[in-house]
Amino acid sequence: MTPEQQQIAAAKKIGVNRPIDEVLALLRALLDFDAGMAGKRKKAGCAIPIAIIVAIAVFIFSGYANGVVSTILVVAALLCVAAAIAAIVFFVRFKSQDLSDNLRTAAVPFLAVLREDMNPGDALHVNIDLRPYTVDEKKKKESDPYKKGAYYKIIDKLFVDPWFDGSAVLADGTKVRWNVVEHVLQHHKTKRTSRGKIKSKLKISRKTVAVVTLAFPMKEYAVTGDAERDEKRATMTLAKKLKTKDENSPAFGLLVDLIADGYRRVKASA
Amino acid sequence: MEHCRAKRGFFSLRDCGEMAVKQCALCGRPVCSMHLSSQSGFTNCLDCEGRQSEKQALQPKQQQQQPQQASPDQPLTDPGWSYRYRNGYYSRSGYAPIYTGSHYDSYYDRYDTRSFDSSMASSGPSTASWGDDVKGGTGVGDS
Repeated sequence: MTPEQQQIAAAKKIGVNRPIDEVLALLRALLDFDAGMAGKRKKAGCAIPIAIIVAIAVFIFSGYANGVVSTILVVAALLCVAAAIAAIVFFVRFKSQDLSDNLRTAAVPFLAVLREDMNPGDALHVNIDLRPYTVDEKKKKESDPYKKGAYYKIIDKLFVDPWFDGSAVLADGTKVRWNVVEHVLQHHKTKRTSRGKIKSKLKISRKTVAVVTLAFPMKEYAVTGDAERDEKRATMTLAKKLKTKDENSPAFGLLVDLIADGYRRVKASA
Repeated sequence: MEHCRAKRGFFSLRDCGEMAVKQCALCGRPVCSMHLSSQSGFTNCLDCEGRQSEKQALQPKQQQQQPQQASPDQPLTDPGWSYRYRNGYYSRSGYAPIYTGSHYDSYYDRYDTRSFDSSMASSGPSTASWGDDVKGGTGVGDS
């Protein structure tokens, strides 16, 4: 990766204004980086239990061995413990470098669709926040613990994540500006089972709000319905919200639907 | 040499403008190198590939070919992705894109492309009346 890409991957924030193809090349490098990190994280995650199991087994065998063999087995077991610790450290490190799935599931497909409507050299302005919604800065509310039914402790946390906005001029002269905000309500519930075990559940409710502003050139389009008009453009703002319990953001579909709704309200000028 | 007859765009369609290098083996339209599908060995156009994948998706599961594992950067690396998505989106949502080009092609009639009409086919969009959801025309050759 280039120094700029490394800097973006570390900060997990993209704020660029450049030709669409350059933006997509940047996003591709970030996706590759994220996929590489996910692979390494998986390997480190698998290595942890393997190293622990091998360490326990070798310790047990060392008890049955005598002399030099016993010493070698103890050293091998200690090495396995060291390997497990190293794997945990790497796992945590790779986990902290993980980029939000919003990049893969929403931002990249949306910008790939938008590219089709743009001239290749035209600039796109985009801001993407790839930090998870759970960072402290995005936490807006946290309830006091309360009881409900079998759950003796429930804590609700509300996160507001304005992670994606941008603007572009399309090939037909239409200016498009968009903004996506995720409101995620996290319920952390804890209960005690009849056998005395403590069980915890984490559930999320997601509300995604997408707003799109389209400024159609009056020369090309006749706009029907509500729109602010000046000499050159008719501007309309459309918004949509969607509630899901999904981990992935539905922003891609919402943005495409909103822009399509805008285009449904116009006709090509005579 | 003819111009590529594929249309670029998603919310509005426009002419590709590149020179054609080959005819699509399925629809017979002349298309440029950018609009030939690499998955078909550069024999079919990206539009036909999109329509084929939609047909395949509608087939019963037993008849479907094993789907390829989609990579996360597929929208960026696979030029056919946006054409498959475009075709699927138009079918699912009933969206009729606005056509802003000047070369009518009956291939896109199934999208109910707004502004296509027979008068425009001969005279181009600057002098034609732009009807809403107008279908028709017999299709004319490219320039």
